[in-house]
Amino acid sequence: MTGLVWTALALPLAGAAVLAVLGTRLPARGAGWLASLVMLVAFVCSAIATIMLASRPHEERAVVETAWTWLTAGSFQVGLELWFDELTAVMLLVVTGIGFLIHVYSIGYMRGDEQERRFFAYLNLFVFSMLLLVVSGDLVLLLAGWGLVGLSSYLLIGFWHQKPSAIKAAKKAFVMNAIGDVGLALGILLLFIELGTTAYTGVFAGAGSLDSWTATIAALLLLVGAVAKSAQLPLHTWLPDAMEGPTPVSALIHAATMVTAGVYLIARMNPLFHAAPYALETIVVIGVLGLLMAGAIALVQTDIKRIIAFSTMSQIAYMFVGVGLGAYWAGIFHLFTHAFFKALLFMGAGLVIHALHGEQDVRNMGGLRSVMPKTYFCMLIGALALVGIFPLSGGFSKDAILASALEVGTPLAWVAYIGGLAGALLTGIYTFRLMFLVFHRRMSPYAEAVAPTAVKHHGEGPSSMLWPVYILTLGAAVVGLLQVPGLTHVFFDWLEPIAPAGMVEPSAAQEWLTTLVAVSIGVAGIAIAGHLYLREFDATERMRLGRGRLVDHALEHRLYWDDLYAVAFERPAQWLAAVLRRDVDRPVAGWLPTDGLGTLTAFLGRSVSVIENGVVRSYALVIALGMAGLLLALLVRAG
Amino acid sequence: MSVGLPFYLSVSAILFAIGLVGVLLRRSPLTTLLSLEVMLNSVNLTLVAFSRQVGGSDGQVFALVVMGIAAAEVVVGLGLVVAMTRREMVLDTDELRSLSG
Amino acid sequence: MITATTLITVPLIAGIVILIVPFAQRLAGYLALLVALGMVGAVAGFVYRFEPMAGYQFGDDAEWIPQLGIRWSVALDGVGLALAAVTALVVACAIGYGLWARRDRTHATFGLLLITEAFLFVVFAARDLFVFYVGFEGMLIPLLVLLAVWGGDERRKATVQVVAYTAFGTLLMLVAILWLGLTAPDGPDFSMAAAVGRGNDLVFWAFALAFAIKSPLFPFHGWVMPAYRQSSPEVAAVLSGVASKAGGFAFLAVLVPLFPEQSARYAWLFIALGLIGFLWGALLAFRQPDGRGVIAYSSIAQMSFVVLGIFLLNAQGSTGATFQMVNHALVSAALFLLAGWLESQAGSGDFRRLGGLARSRPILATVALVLGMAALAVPGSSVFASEFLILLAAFADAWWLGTIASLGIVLAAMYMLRWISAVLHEREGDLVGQLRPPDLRSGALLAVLPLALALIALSVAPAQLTERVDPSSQMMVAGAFADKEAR
Repeated sequence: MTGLVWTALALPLAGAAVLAVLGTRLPARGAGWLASLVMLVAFVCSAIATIMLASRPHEERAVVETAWTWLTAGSFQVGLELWFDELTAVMLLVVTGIGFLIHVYSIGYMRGDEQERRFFAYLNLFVFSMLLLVVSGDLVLLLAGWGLVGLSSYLLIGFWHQKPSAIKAAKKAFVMNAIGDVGLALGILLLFIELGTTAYTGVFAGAGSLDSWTATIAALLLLVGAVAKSAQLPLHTWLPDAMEGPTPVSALIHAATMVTAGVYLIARMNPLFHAAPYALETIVVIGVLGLLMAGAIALVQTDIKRIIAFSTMSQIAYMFVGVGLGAYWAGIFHLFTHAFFKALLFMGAGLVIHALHGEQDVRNMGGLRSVMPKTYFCMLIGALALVGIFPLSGGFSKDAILASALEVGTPLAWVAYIGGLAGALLTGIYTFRLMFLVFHRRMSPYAEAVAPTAVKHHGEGPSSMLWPVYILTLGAAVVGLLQVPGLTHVFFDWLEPIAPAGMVEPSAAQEWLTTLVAVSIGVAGIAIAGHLYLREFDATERMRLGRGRLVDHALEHRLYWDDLYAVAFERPAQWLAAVLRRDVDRPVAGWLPTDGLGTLTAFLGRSVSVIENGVVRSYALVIALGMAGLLLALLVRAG
Repeated sequence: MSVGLPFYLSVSAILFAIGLVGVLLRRSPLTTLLSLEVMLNSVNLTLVAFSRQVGGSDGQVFALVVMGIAAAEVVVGLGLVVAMTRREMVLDTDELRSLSG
Repeated sequence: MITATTLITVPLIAGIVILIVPFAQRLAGYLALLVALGMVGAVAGFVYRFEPMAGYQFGDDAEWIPQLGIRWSVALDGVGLALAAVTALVVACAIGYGLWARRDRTHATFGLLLITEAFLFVVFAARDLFVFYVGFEGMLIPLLVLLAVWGGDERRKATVQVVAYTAFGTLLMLVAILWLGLTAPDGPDFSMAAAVGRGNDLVFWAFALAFAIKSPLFPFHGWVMPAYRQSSPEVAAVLSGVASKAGGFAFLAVLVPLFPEQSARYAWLFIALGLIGFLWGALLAFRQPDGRGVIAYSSIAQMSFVVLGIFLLNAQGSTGATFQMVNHALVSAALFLLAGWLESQAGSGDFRRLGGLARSRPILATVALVLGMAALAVPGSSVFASEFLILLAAFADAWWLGTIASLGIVLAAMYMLRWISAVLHEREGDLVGQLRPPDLRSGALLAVLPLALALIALSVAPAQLTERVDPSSQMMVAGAFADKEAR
């Protein structure tokens, strides 16, 4: 069983290495198929390993295995440790399964790009890093995976590196994630100093014995990493810019897998967070604020991928609320369903962008329903799942989170409940604003000029792009049925052992009540979107939400977070570096021998050289005087 | 009146002073060399005088060595002076100051 | 039997032979490369035979100048061996690069590089203070000649600066060594073992100053910029890659064990300077206009971080510092070779005139990315492993120390990303458009590749190094650590 997991981990790395080394010696199309094949085998390995894990008795399901010692120094020791349990299995399946579909999709999407091989090498490298993150059994190794997914995300965001905007976005994502990495690293250091180990077994066993302050600080430091990676407040500004990367990348990294790593981390470290109730409350607060803010900003964006990006941020905020409330299974369940419908929406958006020759502005779309019926249908399923319409997947998982808030019942949980429902309204509006603007109303002149001919020639996309979308559509529709309140209980039962301290589970009545409310609110949101955006209007008009100019301006500028960071950190740092270079380093570094000693030596030399005038007679005089002095001294001493 | 040690030493000192004044005041390198010879010989005189006084022959031997060296020195010195005169066409030690630091 | 003496004498003799025997130009180069590769093999043999728990190994001990109690006493422990290994590799790669670049007067270039290598081995293996001094001072002579003769336009000024700084430091150290050796209780004795704990504060500072200048530790880094900018790529690689490690190594293997009491007492000062230098170098690297500037200031930052790690005086700090020195040797040597290659192909290292080089140059892009990512310590890389150890040591010492130091890691990400995108990405610079530099291939690639591969290997299994280093480095700081605890 562990052998299969190791294989699943090693294969993408091998794939990346082969693609990198062979490079242009591979045929362009072959690279994509090779990378996809690797992913398929990894998925099959993960699936078999999961089945084998399921066949074991409950208490034997957490498997730990060390391949070799990775790093040692003194008492500090890190093993290349595999940790395979129920949570790992879920993540493995999501990463390899969705990853496989997106690899296949990319074959069609990237066709004709001269750098296809590099793209697939990066993609495989990403999958390896993500798998390392989820299968590692040691926090330091998790941090390694954590950093490597950041690296591959950087490479893929900046894949079209001749575009300065892409490189800028990639650097921004990397630096923000580096801040998160440092936070996570500091948390790990603190845990090591307190517990003497960084292996999960030791941390889980010792977490209960930490005093509550230490546990809270450690948990908050880990949270810094989680917040940066999952693009939550206040380290979220990189995610919308990350949409500069190719669309499959957005689907894989910035929707389905990497950005949910923060949720995984919190769920994985639940024994520690259990010992730190303040940290859990912080997570809920971050989640509620984030889901409302991202939802509101998504209302006014005009770039199709950015709308979905803000939606992703909002949905991950829901997951944060879930894990923050102690309903770890609900958070992971939403992660699971979200991977399907959000990847689906991104890939649908990719089909639209493809048909429109790279156009991403929703104002230049419209009326595509008649031209691209298959895409429309699939994205409609995805959109409904996102809004949470019964019985599609997103509803079950989101309502599970909200119902857990009911079950918890604290004031904060009520805030989360109401905030979450308000978020559902926003979700309904922005999702169907997107759908209506892209697929309904009259076609924009640009779309009319481009789309029909493109679709006539190529269809809605090559089959390598369409089939993954179909499969995801099916998944987005049905995976929610794993956990129907009162009927099926698969997901909760499966994940129950990962939290030794127990998980929050709402009653069926609470869940059905929440579903009823949430679906009504979602439908109301769709209705509002229909009222606002189904009527005809000038395509160049700004996408007004309300009447207030101030609100519009603020939302269009994403609530000024970027400007805040520029003023607070970027400019001071640059100014400081410039001042240091210009005014301080030269004097400080140059003071010692170069100037000081040099001047002194030159001065001494000049003063002494006066005597050496080259006139023989003066030399003789000096000698004579010297001798006379000597004689005088002798006489004085003798006398 | 016997010619004693103080007499020799006095002559020697006078000779030395004459030589020194010559070296210091005359600018012709030839005269300078001549004056140097005078100084060397004054020292020789002292050596021999003391040698006689003490009774050993060390001083006389030493005086002979000094004479030999003085002869060699004159050869080299005169050669240099001739060479310099040929090159620079001046016979003035104050003008020959290319060793100035 | 191959011992540490063999390691020293072979490159020394080979270097002198190549320097004076009039071989054909290419032949001299190939001979030098062969010797350098032989040294890599010899060191690899040492690494294979090394027993981590057995202390100093492969040693020789013979009378050298008996009247003064000076003995030819050399041996390698884990720390010395790690640095000797990376030295052999870096020098071989530097010679390989010089061979590719077709330097004129090959005899002198390669002969001097080999002699430098020999002196470096002397430093890393010395068990006698006088022998140590010979190596510490001697290695500069060939490097200075190389800088003064083959450097850039302002090489003379750069050479004078290096001489002024280092002479200032090492002369005081020579006095200190003589004092230590001649005042030994049982007659003159220069062995390091006899000097442990005998020095007073003045002697301590004389040593510390010499090492701080060589490392370079802030604020003694004034000589670094001109020297790294003006020397040819292979000399810059040796200078920043391994010669600067002599300073860091000396802190760890000479200063701390010989002066445990003073090291513990003044550790705070070195920690403060290391911390300032770490942030200082990183900030300045962020504003440099060319590749060499970025690498030079990042070297200052990294070596300051190493000193910080050493003076934390615990196991993780000292092992992490040694590991960090090995990593930095590989990274900075490779980056200097790469920067030199770029300058030779594009005519300038100025960021404003480069850019867009990744296009249709896949090998260059891959190598530069791997090196850049290693330099910014992406988690999972070997540099990350070593920085993590030092951070761990800092955090264990005081939480705020680790937290401030971690700032430098974010800064490192910023300046290395700037370097990567300024060279590889964005719009093509005018030089790239005009000269169309080729992809990194053949000789230049072969010179850089081993360094990159070594980094990758160390990333996969860093414990292979730390396990060998750890017992030795713990021994070195044990005395000072006990003193610190007693305080």
